[in-house]
Amino acid sequence: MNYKEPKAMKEIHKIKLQLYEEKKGLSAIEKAKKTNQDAHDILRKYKLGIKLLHRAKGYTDIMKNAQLQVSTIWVLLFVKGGVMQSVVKSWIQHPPIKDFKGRQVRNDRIKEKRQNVFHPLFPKTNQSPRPNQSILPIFSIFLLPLYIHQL
Amino acid sequence: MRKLKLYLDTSVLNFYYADDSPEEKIITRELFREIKSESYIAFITSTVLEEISKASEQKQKPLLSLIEEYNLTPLEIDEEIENLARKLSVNGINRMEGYKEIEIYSPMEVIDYEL
Repeated sequence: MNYKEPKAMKEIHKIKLQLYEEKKGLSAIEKAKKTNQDAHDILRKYKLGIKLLHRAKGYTDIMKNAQLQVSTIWVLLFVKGGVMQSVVKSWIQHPPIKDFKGRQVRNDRIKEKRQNVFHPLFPKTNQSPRPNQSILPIFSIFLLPLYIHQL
Repeated sequence: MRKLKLYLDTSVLNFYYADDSPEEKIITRELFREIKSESYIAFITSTVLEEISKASEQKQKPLLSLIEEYNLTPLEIDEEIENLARKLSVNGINRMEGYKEIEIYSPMEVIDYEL
C-alpha cells in the first residue's frame, strides 16, 4: 500500500540518520548501552511512570540463571548457617508464651525491654542478663530473598 | 486466544499526529483505539524513546503522552538485538538464526488484518 510521508516524519528521518552517524564505529554493546541510556534519560526528564523492561530471556538463559541462584542459595545458607542457628537457639531459649485463650503474646525478652523503656530511672536489680543476640540476624533472613533477587 | 504482538516504530507514533495525512491519521488512531481495547499487545523499544529524545521539545511531549496513555510497553535493547538488527534485511536470516520471522506492516495494513 502506498502512502504519503507526512511532514512530521521528516524530522524523525533526520534523527534516525543523525543517530546512525553518531553510532558509527561503536560495538553492538556500546550502541545498546547508549540507546538505553538516552531512553532512561528522557523518561527521567519528564518524570514518567514508565519503566524499560528487559527483554524476555530464552529458556537456556533462564535455566542458567536458575542454576546460579540455587548455587548462591547454598553458599549463603552455608555462610549464614551461624545466623540461622542463633535464631533457632533464641526461639528455644525464649519460646513464645500464650495467654489463657491460647493466643500467642509477647515473649519474655520483649517484656523485659518494655519494662526498661517505661522505668528507665529505676532499673531492676534482679534482671536477668540480656541475651547476647540482636535483631539483625532476623532481618538477614528477610533480606536474603531480596539479595538473591538482585542477582 | 493469543494476542497479536505489535512493535511500533517511531513513525507509527508520528502518524497519530500527522495532520497533513488525514487518512493515515484516522487509521493510526483506530489502531491505537484497538490497542487500548487490548486487541493487541503493543511494544516499543528504547530506540523509539531515544529518537523521541532527539526530537524538538514541542514534539517530545505529545509522543511521550501517547506512550503513557496507551500503555505501550518499552523494552530495553541489548547486544543480541543490535547484532540482529544489523543482519535483519532478509527474513531468511531470522529462520537461519532460529528466530521467528517478522512481518512489517503499516498501520493501515494492521487494521485491514482485523477486517
